[in-house]
Amino acid sequence: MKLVVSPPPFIKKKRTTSKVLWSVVIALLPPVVAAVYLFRLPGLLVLLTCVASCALTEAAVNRVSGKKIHIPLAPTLITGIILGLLLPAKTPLWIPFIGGVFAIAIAKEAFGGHGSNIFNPAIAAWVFLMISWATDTLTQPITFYDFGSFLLNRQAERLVEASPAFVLLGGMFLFLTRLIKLDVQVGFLLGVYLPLTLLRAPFAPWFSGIFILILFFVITDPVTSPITKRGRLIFGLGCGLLVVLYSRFANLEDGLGLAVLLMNALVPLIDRFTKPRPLLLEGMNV
Amino acid sequence: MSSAPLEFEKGLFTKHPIFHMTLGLCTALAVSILVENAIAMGLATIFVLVSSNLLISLLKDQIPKEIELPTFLVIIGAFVTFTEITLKAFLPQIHKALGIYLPLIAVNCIVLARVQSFAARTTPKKAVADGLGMGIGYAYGILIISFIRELFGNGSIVILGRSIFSWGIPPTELLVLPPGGFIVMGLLLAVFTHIERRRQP
Repeated sequence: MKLVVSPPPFIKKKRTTSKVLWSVVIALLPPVVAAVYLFRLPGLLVLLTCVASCALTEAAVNRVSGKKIHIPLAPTLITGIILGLLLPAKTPLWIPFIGGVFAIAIAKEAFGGHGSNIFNPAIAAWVFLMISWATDTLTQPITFYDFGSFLLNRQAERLVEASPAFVLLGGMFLFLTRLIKLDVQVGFLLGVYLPLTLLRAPFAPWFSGIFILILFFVITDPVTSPITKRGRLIFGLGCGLLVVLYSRFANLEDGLGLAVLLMNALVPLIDRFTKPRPLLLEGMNV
Repeated sequence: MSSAPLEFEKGLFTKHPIFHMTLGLCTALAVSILVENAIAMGLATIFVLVSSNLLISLLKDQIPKEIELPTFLVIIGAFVTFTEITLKAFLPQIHKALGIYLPLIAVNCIVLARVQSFAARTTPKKAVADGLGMGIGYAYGILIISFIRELFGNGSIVILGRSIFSWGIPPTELLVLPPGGFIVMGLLLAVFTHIERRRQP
């Protein structure tokens, strides 16, 4: 028997960061396919512009900061695709381009690159675009859902709304391959559901593509969410409560984006307060 | 001991109040929405800095050590009040735009820091040179921030009701809001630090 003496971790799996990231890219394919199917060329162009501008910005930032030019393909694709999905298909193409630049240069690289960013790059860029050029990025809110429009919504304006069912499909893929656990989601859904039942208010966007995309792909992002199970539950709960609060006074899109950003900013604090304590240390003078 | 020209020069770049010492950010971020406001704020700060530096360096032997800080504040406060009343009389619009940040020059950390750590320990000539340098440094810093914010945030630059420059790009609303101020400020800080490192390897 071969014995290996080494520091932890002792449990090893074949899962690597790049495999996880590529699985997320695969999970994002169903909504991308649905969006391209419904919106054809304009939809595809928005997505391509986002991804291309993310990649270009990554290269430019590397160049300026004197590093070797290296474009991490999977994270760039994820940021670009999520940002593209959140935008309307009719938007002028300079909007997704500036969004990509903002996402990478300011929300990601300025904080130290992939893994060090405080805010979810795609959401930060999305909120930036919505605040700055509201007329080009806001759409009519969707108030009516049935099974048909859940599968393919012909009235959709945003790419992600083309087919909420396909977003859910991608999310389920992540869940079934155990890449995401349901901790954040449970908190998020509770945070949305509880105040709404107390207020006896209906919540139409339950089945909207944006809501499902945020639920499965954004708040689960391991970089910008807490580490511990308790922390993740609190994070999700906070996001949910803020979404309800914001969307009562503003529109749903702003509410979702700002709620995620605000909770992202609180992640270091949540991590600090939910740090697990060793049992024996209680009462010991160490 | 360095000479007066050197004391003047250091505020312009090597010890730039905003981008090197990160002092006075409160006003630099809040007032820098419009170029017009930034110019008024810069001039007001230069005036307060130079005059309080001069007066305090003249009085430094008369001020007892124990009540140093209250005395400084009274002197700075007097100059700030003078500036405020003058602006209110001659440029009421700008006075209104600057709002609470004008009286707050009194507790602006640049003024207090220069007075306490420099003017109170040096000759009047050097104190004036230092105040002028720091004031001009602050003024052009806030001017750059406000120029970028107004140019991209409003799409045009308007000074005293006259449009100096305008272009057809759709304005970036975020830059006029507080987060835009922080982003512009942060990027300029990065540029400044970069130039500084280039200069002295």
